[in-house]
Amino acid sequence: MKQPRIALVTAVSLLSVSMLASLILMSAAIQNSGRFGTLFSTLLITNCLGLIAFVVLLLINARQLIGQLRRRQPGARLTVRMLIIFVVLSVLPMLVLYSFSVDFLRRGIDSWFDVRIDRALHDALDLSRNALDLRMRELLSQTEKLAEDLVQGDNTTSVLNLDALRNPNSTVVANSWDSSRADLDLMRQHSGADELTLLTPQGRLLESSSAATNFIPNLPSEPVLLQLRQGRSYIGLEPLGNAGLVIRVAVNIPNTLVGGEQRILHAQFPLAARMSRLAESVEGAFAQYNELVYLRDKLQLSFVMTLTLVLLSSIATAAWAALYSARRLAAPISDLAAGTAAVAQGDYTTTLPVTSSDEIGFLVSSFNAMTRRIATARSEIETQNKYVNTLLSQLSSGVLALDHQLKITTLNASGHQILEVGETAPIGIELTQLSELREHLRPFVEGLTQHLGSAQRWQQEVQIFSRGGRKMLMCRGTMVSFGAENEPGHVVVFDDITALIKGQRDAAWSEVARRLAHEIKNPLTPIQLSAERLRQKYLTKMAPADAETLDRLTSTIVQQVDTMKTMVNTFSDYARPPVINQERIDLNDLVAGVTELFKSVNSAARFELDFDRTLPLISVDAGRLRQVFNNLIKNALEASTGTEPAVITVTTRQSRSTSRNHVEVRIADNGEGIKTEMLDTVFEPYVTNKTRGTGLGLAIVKKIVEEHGGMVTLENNSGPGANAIIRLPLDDAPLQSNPTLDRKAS
Amino acid sequence: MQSIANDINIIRIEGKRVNDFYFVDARLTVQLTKDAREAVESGVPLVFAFEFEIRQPRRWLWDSTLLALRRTYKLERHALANRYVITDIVGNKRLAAPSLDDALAELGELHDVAIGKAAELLNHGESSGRMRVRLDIESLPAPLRPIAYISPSWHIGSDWRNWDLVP
Repeated sequence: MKQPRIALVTAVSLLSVSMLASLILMSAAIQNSGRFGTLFSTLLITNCLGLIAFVVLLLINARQLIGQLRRRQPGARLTVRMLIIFVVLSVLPMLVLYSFSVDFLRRGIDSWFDVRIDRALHDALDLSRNALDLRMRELLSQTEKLAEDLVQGDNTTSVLNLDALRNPNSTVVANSWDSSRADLDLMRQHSGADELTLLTPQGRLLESSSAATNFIPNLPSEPVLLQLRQGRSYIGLEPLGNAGLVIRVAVNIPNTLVGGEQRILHAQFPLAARMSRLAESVEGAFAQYNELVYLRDKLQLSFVMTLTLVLLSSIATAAWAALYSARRLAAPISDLAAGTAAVAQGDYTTTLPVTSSDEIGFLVSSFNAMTRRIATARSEIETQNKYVNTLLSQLSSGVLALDHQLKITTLNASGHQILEVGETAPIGIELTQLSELREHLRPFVEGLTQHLGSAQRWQQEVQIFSRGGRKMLMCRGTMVSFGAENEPGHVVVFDDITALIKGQRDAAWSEVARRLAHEIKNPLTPIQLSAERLRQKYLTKMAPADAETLDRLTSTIVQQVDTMKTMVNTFSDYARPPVINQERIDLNDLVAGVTELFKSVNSAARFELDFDRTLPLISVDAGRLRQVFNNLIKNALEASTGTEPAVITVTTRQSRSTSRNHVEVRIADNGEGIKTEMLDTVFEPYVTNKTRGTGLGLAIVKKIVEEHGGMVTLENNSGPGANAIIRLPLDDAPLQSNPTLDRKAS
Repeated sequence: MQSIANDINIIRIEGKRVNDFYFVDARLTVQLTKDAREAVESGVPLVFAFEFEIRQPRRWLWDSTLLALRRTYKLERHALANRYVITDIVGNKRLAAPSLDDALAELGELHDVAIGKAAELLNHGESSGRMRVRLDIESLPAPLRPIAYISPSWHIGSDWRNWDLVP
């Protein structure tokens, strides 16, 4: 990433520098066409191409930036904002400078052209011409004189002509001319001319003489010849070859020659060196000035164009530099934004590269330190959570935490086990939903709900009927605050105290039995024996009337003592620690057997049996369970005493009221039912509505059923009579899944 | 760059062999646009490039150029002498004419322009020569060049004109 960036910056810098150099050269080319004039077009094209390259570079960057803006990439807006600021800050002064420069440029170029200079140059030119005119007129008359001399000489001086031919310095005669023998060389030397030529009016060379040794005669042009043919002499100033200015004179030789043929004398005179130099100087200055005047607008345009190119190049460079700087400045901020977003989404491993040592670098390193600390704190919290979870899982008590909305936030392993909520942890669901999902927890939920409104510590015993049978739960709860910002929730700690209560009760009744044995049962035998001895000893000795009374009284004592013995034995049975001899039996058979006994004794009562024949075998103590059904049927018959006919309905079913299977036995009568106020206490010892009986019948029923892990309830029918319901768990039966319940739980 | 206006017409061109050398004579009419005329009269020198090429046609490829020759002539005004001067830049010959039209007429007369050695040119079988003239914009003063490149009135020249090497 870094190397391409350096390469790009280098390339752009090189481009900028080369454009700058090119612009400098271009400026020089306009000012002095001699030095860089030939390069001007190349430089112009180079600069335009450089500018186009910059513009393309800018466009590419702008497109990237727009794409980033559309994608809402972090830092893009900041880059654009900084770019605008940079560009405005750099471009505005440039534009001001540009407008002033253009103005100064125009004024500067305009100041080159002054009317007085213009006038002076024209005057100088006129002066030069006048000076030259004078000299030219002299030369014309001199040449005309020469022409005349030539005519005269033709008649008299033929010897000179021969001498001239002998003279090695003299020019070779190109063409022989018989009629004229003028000594051109001599004339030329006398006159000071460079070149003397005799020509025909058509321009054909007849004879010539030149100062140069190896020369090609410089003949007059056709317009000059035409002028001469019209009889007018020609005199003109001509810039020729390297010789500078020369004065060309051509005159008609007076028509006095033999044969009357017309001839032209053509002479070429040099200007005096000083005069020539001055004339060239005036000419040069005038030409340059005139050219400048002509190029004035173009020059201004060229300068403005160069200046504009400079401006555009500067703006492009500045814009690119602004873009680059803005990107460089925004990059760490974009990184920070991206890093913050990552942290917000929970990624605390984000670290950003610290690229600078300024405030932004400080910010980045602070950010890195912050994420490090958050990560550390998070791992500490996780460790703490693990610790707390481990601690909770090791507790034998169940711990249930609820938030302010009564949603379950925590339920430890023991809680799971005690409540038997199934495999799925009910975390996140509301407490009331728990009772819907797990029917057997309804008493638990109801028991808790009534206390959750108060901030006080509370304690409540709750009884649930789970797959493991009836359970007594001791629940203790309190309102707790989970952190300052959260609304207070609740923590409920509950223990399974079923075994404890059972143990306590067993111990209590064992104590009762022991007392009965010691306090009641032991005196009974002496009472009975004493009564029997009394009867034996005095019955025969008494009068028949007294004897009959004694017999009746002692019999009553013995009988009542027997009754009391039976009662004490019953207590003893009740208080006896449960020794259950389990065997697998068919409950239907057991119930049917008990019912048969009663049928034979109570012919008036009608027994209706409704058995589920699919009941599995169940592990129970058959003897003790027989006692249970015995007691219940006996109770039912007794309750239906006044009813004709007494109808005892015995039903067996397999029920799925909780998460596992149960066997349910219902024994219903059509008697008077149970008083509502007795419903809660009917299974307690000594609770009875009968005039006879120990009041232990139902207590023993309850005890035996609970010893089997079952549950017994007594309720009034909707019609006449009451209904005893016994539920016994099918311990070894395979769990039958309840699709409805499972779906809810998941 | 193709000529836009045919301000220069080559009326006649012919080659000739004199001894070992091959020469070309040509006659052209040269006209200047208003802008060019104004420039010359203002003292800006105009350079005309006369381009000669000897080419040999090829069957499958473009013609090969055996020889390319460029002769340049400068036309400028001499204010002091009030003459229009044509300078053969290579031969360094100068020729002065009293008016611009005379000067242009002089420019149109090409006599004995040496092209090359006759033996080298004429022994290539089927070959032909061609010539054209154009105003050399690159020789104009720098400030004038951008405009000259853009403006059609500065694109002065002729089309190529062929001549047979051996008449």
